Amino acid sequence: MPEHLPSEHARLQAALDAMRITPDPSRDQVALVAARAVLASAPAARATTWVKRAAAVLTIATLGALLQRGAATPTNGVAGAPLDELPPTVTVSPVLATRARPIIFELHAPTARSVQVLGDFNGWARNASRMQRGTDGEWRLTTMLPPGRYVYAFLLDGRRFVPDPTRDRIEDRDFGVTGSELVVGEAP
Amino acid sequence: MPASLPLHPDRTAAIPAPSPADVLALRARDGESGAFASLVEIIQPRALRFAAQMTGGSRDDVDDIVQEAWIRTYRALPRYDAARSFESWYFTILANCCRSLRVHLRRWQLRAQPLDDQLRDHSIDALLATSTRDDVARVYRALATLPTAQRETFLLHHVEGFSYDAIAEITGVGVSASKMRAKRAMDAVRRLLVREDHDA
Repeated sequence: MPEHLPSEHARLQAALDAMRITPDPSRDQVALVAARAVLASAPAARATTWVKRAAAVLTIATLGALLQRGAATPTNGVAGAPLDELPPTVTVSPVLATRARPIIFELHAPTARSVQVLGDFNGWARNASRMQRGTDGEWRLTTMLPPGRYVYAFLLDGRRFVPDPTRDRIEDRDFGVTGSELVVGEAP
Repeated sequence: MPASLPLHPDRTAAIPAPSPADVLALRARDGESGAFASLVEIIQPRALRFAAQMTGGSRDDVDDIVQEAWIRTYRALPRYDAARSFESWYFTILANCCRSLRVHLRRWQLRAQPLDDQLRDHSIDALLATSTRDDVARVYRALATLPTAQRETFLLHHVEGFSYDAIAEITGVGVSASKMRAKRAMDAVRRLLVREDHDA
C-alpha cells in the first residue's frame, strides 16, 4: 500500500468532519418553515390564498375600469371603488376589497444586502414583499393593507429575522412567530 | 412510548428503538400540536446542509428546496409508515426535491464551494486548520465533477451517516449499487486529493 494513504485517509476524515458542521437555524426560522408547510397544506389556507389572489385581480380590474373612465384615485383605487362596480364574476371579501390603506414599511439597515417584510398579511412568505434600498441606507416598501391588526418582522439578507425596533413585540399565535404589532385603522 | 407505535412483544429485541424523529413524526401524524415544529427543528440543519451540498444553490434556492420538502412531507404525513425511519423517509422526499428542482432549474451550477456563504459558520471555519479548510475545498471540487447519483450517495453515506440499506431506500436503487456509487465517488475524491498534492 502506498505510504501516502494513511495520512490521506486521516485528512479526508477531517475534511468530512468539517463538512458536517453547520450552524443551527434559529427557533424563529424553524417555526416559519413548519408554519409554511402547515399553511400550504391546509384547505382553509388555500382558500385564503385564492381570496387574496382574487383581491389582487380585483385591484387591477378596478383600477383599469377607473382609469378608462378617467376617475382613478391616485394611491388607493380599491378604497374608492364601490362594490357595485366590481366585476360580477369575482367574489371578494368586502374587508379585503374596501378601505385598504397604503402602509409604508421602513428600516434603517445600511449594511444589509436585502430586506423583506414578512408577516401574517403575506403568510410569512419569503420573497413576497421585498423592500427597496434608498441611497440613505433606508429600506422601504409601500403596500396596501385593509384595517386590522397584523404581526410582522423584517428578514435581513434572507436569514436574520428582526422585529421592528420601534414597535411592541407580539406573538403571532397562528404561526408561532414573534414579531412586531401593526394596527391599521379605518381610513379617515 | 406512544400508543401508536407498533408493538411486537415477541420480537422486541429485533426491532430497533424508534429515534426521537420517529416518535415526533408519529405524534405529528396523530395531530399533536407542536410535534411537527419540533421535528423540523431536529432535522433542519441536516436538511439545509444536504440540499446545499447536493445542489450548490444559493441560500434562497436551498431554503426553497427544503421548504418544498417539508410541505410535501407534511402533506404525506398521514401516510407515514411507523415501521420506517422518518429520517430516511424525509431524505427520500428531500433528495427528490433536489433532483427534480435541479433538472428543472438549470441555472443551478455546481460550484467548487457549494455551501453558500450564509450557510457557513465562519467562527467554526476559523477553528479549522488551514490544511483542513483546503481539503474541504478539494472535496467539494471533486464532488462537483461527479454524476448526481454518486454525489448523492457520497453525501448520504459519508456526511449524513446513512447506512447502505437506508441509502437504497432513499435512492430507490439496490444496496450493491449504492455501495458501488459510494466507492466510485470516494475513489474520485481521493484521486483529486492525491493529484492536487502532487501538483502542489
